Amino acid sequence: MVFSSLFFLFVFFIANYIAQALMPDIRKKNIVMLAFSLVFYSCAGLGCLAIMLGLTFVCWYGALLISRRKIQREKKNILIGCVAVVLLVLGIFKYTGFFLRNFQTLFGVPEVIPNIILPIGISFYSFQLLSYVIDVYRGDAEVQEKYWLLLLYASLFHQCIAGPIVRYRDVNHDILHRKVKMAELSRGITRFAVGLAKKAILANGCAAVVNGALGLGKGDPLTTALVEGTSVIGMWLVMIAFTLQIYLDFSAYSDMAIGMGLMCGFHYKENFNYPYTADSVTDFWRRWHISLSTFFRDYVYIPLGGNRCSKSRHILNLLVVWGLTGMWHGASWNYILWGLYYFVFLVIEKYKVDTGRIAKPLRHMITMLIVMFGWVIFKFEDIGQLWAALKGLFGLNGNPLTGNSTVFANNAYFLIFCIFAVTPISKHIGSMLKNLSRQNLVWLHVYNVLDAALPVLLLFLSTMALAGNSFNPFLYFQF
Amino acid sequence: MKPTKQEYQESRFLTIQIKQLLFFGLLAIGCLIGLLWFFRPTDSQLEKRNLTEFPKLTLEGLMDGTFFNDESDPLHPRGLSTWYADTYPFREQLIDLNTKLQSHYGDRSERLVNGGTADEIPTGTVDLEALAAQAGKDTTEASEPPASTNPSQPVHTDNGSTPVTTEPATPETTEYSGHGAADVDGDATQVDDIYLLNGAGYGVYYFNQSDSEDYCRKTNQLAKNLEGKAQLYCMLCPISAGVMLSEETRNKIGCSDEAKAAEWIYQNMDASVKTVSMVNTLKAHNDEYIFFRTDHHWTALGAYYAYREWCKVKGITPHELDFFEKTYTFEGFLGTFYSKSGKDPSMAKNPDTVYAYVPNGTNSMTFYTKYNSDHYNEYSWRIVNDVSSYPRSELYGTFAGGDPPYAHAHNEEITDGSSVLVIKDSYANAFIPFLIDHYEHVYWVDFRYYAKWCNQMGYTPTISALVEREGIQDVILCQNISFIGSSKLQDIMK
Repeated sequence: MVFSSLFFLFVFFIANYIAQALMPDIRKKNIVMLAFSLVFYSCAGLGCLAIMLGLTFVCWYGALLISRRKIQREKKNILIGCVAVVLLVLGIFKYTGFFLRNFQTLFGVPEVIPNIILPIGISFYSFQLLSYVIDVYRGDAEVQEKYWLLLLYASLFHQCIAGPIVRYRDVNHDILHRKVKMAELSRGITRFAVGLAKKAILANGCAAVVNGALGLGKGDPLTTALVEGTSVIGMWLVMIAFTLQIYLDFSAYSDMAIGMGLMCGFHYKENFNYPYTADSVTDFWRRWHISLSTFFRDYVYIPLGGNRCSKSRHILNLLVVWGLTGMWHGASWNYILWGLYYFVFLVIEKYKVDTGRIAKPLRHMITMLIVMFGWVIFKFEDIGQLWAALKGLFGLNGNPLTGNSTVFANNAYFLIFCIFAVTPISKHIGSMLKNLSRQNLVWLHVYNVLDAALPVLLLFLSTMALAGNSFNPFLYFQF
Repeated sequence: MKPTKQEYQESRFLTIQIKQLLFFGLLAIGCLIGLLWFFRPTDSQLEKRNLTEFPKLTLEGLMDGTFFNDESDPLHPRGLSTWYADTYPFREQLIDLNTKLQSHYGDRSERLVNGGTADEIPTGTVDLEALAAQAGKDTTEASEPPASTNPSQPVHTDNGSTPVTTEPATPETTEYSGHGAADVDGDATQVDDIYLLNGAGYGVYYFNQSDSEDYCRKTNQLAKNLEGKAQLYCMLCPISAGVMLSEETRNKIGCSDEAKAAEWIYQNMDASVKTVSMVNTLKAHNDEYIFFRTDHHWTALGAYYAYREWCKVKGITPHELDFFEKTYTFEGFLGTFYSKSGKDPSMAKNPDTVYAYVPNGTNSMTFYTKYNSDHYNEYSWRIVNDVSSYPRSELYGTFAGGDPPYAHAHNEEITDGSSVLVIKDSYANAFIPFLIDHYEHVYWVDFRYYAKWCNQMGYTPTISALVEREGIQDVILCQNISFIGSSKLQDIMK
């Protein structure tokens, strides 16, 4: 089930909200949340649900054993066992096909590659479960004695399918003792509505621009010929619109998750911090998909020694982390390439170039160019198409500068609006209004009217946009 | 004036209450509307398709999730979630509002709806059979998904809400009150790729080589079967971009050269097939009203110029336009381009007018349709019908009874026993009235539905069988060039 669907909004979400609000105590609220979450996840198929139930069981039991054993070596062995099981299952479902395809290309065997369907959200919830077991082992999180409460954590429909990757220690308190505060409920409503509109109106609109610029008709598959035929300006438009799309799409999901959490007392950490205002690649990764980069930092990079080691070891650590980051995004060479691409720039920033010496506007521009080229690598899974796209950006496909498409003129104001939407401008306007409202009664009224009207307006506009666009999954669903 | 702390808090508290009420209130209203199952439409007149059906509950569907969401066919996603949104009450009104919003996204006076890519048009003849063998392709295999239900059931709702039933102006039968056999179906051969410029739509043609080769093969097969029985004519009707737009604009949007494409297709047809080239003639008249701006069809005038070209090939003298004593004018036509563009507001400002020329010999015909029945029944009708009371999206239905599977007109003014059969899609509708005054018998079959009709009647669904049955002398293939790849031609072009 996707958040940006009429079924979710008008059936699932409203029913869930009412049901959990009616429950008198936390235990019953948790039962309701778990029941709804399992139904939510079952929509992806009962087969997928079984895998999630199984992995959660392994981690629940493993953590329980870890907490009960006294000898450190035994604890460690159990941890290794747990991590191995989770990674093995993740690996089988996510990478078998990729591995076999490459093996086939190199050696000609096996002849038939099994078509393994990736259980939706497995990359996200398996990382949540890993963080739980490791934290229990390290003593950073309390052990959860009850299986169903750990299952609630892993399956909670707010974030189970596309993040943020919530740590157990961050929500343990909310699971057991959450209370809804008025101010948070209000913030949650706005946050959810903003996220919904970001996805339904802006991200889907950008997707239409990307497809239009590539000359992709509705339902047609993307082909190398299409990419090769795209004009130079058209390919730059693809790059810019996709840059906007991926942020709006992915951060919208996090916004909606955080908003829904606030509406019923969960506090999830921010997953994005205006990444396109970054002024270095290092800075970008502090602002983009924060829950993933901190996961790799805490559970891979620092255990490997981080930067408190020799230069060569440090570079090796970075290579491992960025190789894994790339691989996590998908079983395809372009994602691995994308991860390594960032590895190169991060090493350059660390050891070769003192970014502080470059003027800030220039630094920001260079960063954005690096990020945008990165998204081109990210966008085209097929290596032939990727190569054609990269050549196309520099006019090496023998195409004219301007192309056969009117898509830019058709969407000029929309794209400008999207560019504003990825900056903190609206946030600044919001806090300015809030400050004014404390100073002046008139401004208080203005602030109140806007605050009350914005979510309902955005909800209505999103419903309009979704009515004719029945199928629009989030980009990050595939990972 | 600065609010006191208490004032501030009270005011904020009240606001949050209102905010909650509005937000959850709208969600609740949305939920209630969703429960109004009797308001849920089953087909979309606007998009000319059947909407997603409620999915069947199967164990397999639950296990793999396809019960809830099945996107295995990206053009026709299925499942509970898609059904819910696709048949949501007032969906079309919501889409309209969204289109109005999107019209402010940028300068939309020029845009491309859908769009695609064309194959290069080759030169010279090719060995069709060798190519088919090489492609390892069974030419008898259909390449399109099967059609869904009731293709030729007349549509009698506008926008899926207000039922409109139209009494014919001079009823020849009291039973039939539909609009002719219009097609609301996934099988409808409409033009999806549209170039919009200043409130006018142009159907964009993308040459497809394998479809073209297949079509030549089928036509040659048919010509062979008709040898010694009837003369076969082939008229590939151009769609508007190839005729109305300059070469520069056509190149800009990647539209193939329709004259060149038709020439190549004709070249690869058997010498016994008499082919009618009409693109250049129509181009010479492209300052006249030969194509609709809001619909994918040509006007009666466009069809008239094509008719003159056919007369040349046939070797007869065409009638001048002033030969026709009775004409109709229907104003306010907003056709398929209007709906496919998402009801482009600039089109609504400048709708089309449908002009129709009534044949002199007779205006009576009979046709079969599934109106109000599971079976095809025969009705009397008019070749050019008064459609002034029809919904404004249906005015092209004036011609030839729309798209019935089988129709016949008998012109008693002519008694030489001459007969012609038109194998058609909706493009031929505007052309057929011009044939009436040349033959004693004019038959027309819509290739999309003919096989189904034959199935019911117990006839062999091939053209040669029909030609033998009725002793027909001339057979004209008349359809728009962008749909020669239709799988429906497969069974009947024999």
